[in-house]
Amino acid sequence: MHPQDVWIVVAAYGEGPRLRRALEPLCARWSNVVVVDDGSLDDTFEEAMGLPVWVLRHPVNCGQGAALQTGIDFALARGAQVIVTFDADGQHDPADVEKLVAPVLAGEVQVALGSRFLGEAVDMPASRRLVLKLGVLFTRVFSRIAVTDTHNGLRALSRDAARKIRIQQDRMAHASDLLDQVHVHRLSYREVPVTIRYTSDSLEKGQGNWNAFRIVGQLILGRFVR
Amino acid sequence: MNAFQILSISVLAVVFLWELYAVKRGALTRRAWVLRSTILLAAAIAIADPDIVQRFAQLIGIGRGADVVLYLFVLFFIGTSFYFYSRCAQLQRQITALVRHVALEGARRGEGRPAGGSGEVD
Repeated sequence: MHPQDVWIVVAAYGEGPRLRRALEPLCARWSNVVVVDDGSLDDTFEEAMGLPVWVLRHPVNCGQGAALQTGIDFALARGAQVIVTFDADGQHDPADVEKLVAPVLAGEVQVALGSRFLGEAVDMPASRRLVLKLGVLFTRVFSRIAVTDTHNGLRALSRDAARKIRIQQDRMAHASDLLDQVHVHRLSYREVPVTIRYTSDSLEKGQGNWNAFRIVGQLILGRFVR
Repeated sequence: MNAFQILSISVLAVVFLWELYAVKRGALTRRAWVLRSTILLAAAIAIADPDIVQRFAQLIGIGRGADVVLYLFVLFFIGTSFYFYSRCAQLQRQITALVRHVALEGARRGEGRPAGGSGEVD
């Protein structure tokens, strides 16, 4: 397999001020990057069009989960053999993409999941650490999958895994939904140490700790309608 | 009859007549009208003669008529909540599918690379 078989999907909402800084290092190494603008009200779309990436645009905001699935569908249609999801807010280290892709490209696992707790979480607030640790406990009970980081947006999927997984949760519960499906479809997976870098920018823009309750509610209610 | 009974039965009667008019002008199907009128009639009877509900409760082994009303309300509430949440989730999925289709159809290439194919790293 070649690097051209690897596609990187970036869901972006309101990331106009940060997008270029977050993606330029990525674009320098990887040629197949697709940015899905999830109905942003700022200049996210225009910023994305200034980068050497594919740009898709949701006419209305549907949520990160929905945007990632749109990007995954696009990448699959273009023949992607490995699909990586990467956040647009600059928290992820582009150098970690290689580490995630390697075991999937080698056929060792179908899914590689980034873990900040196996790697490094720079400037992570203590409250966020606590909420994420509770999330790990919840996931072990709810999704019956044992991972150390349940809400990491950095992950690599084989083509086969990407075709089996269908993200149903449009908004922030998608991360847990995806892990749920890894378990349901019995996909082989491995956690890979990655670095997550918190900035005041990303913390202010990102979801607050209280969103954890909303995510749990969405997941539980989702079970009642499927 | 007390004031509450007179007032609420009057309101139910007005609703009944309004819905009959809705059937006549085609805004409501006859079947829906029959179902809704049955509920309106049951409510009117229960309000007019609360002892009927009490006798029904004792017939089915529940102590008080008010408890029957409560249990029925809870069951109905749970049923409609599930229904409306499912319907809402279905609508959301349809919207997302439509939005996704529009996005995929309008995919564009940013500057710096030629359009088409997977692209090569320079």
